[in-house]
Amino acid sequence: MEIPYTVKPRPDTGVYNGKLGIWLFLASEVMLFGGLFASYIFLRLGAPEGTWPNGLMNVWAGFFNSIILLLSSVFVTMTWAAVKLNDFKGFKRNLAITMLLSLVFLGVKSYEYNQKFHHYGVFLKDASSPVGWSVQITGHVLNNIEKDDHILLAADAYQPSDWRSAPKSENADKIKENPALRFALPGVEITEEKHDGEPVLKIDKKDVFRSSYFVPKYNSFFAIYYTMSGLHALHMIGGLVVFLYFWTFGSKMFHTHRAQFANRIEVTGLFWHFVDLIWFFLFPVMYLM
Amino acid sequence: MADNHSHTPEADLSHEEAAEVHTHVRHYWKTFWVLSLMTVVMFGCYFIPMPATANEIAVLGITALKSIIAAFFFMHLIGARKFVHQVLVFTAIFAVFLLGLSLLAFMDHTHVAFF
Repeated sequence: MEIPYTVKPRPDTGVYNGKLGIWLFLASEVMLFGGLFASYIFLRLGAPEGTWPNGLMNVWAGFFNSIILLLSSVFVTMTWAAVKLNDFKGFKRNLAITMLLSLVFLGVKSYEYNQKFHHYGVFLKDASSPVGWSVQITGHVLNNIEKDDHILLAADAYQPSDWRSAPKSENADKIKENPALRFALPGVEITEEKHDGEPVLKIDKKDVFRSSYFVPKYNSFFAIYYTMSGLHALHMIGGLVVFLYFWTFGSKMFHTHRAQFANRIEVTGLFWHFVDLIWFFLFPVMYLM
Repeated sequence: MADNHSHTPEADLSHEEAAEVHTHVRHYWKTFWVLSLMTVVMFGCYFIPMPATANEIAVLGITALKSIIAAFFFMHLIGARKFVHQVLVFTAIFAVFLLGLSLLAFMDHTHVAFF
């Protein structure tokens, strides 16, 4: 039995069934990601003042990925155009480029995840602070933190909990001359060692409020970041699998039912644009704000 | 079925239909350049020293505009059927409802009033 309305529009909806299906699916996706974005907003609004992290993300990687994903959106429409124009070589080429771009995106994302999983953060204890800590220092761990009673950290940044309103340090001039001095904090010993140009700090565990790698448990930001970017990446992998099917076995339909095949590419393209659209929001919200 | 269109050698599309597809492709590239430029501007805002609120407004404003452009031109919402628009209007209502309810619960819980 032939499935009706795979090419021609249904008279009552005005669109072919595949298109109706994808729009309904995308509507449900809006609710899924909408719920997660709402979670992000409330986590951020609910965070004690000045504690929401800033500057922990690789903004250049995020920017690069934005352009890559945007470019893949163009190539998926070019793929559809090639099918419409009965250009099989063009279809294959454009779809291959789309897949390549999505692999680049996922590669950069994996690189970013890997970097985060090896980055360590230490929150210094401060009894006078309403949140229990005053400063977080981030960097790379150089010792066995499970065994030792201290943490050796090649420090690359620090952030006071009230960073938005933090007064300028009295030692600003000295810090300019010796940037390592910015880590001159109670409970932190600046050693003579350097690791990749960064000063190595010795932090006693008793002065640590809490510490961990940049994994979901590190803070609310990373919890929501991994959830949302991970879900986004899963959508990309799903799209990639469909593209791969069209590029290989599914491409037979190009020669047998081209109009239907063009519609299949179109609905997959709509899904792909939606994935791009989600990234439009993820990039500024997670990296720039 | 009678077809008054003349056909291109490359396809069983009429010249008019093929020209329409080529026009679409040109529009896609234009859309790409506009969206890329907006992404660059948005990224630039990150480096410009400004109050956090101003930065958030600028960044989210550009993002909203980018989404509208992408939805209209890449996803063809500009010429979509009424039924698709109806689906999206319902989705928007539910999304606002979802956010509104959560916001009310948040305000109740934290005793913070946003409006």
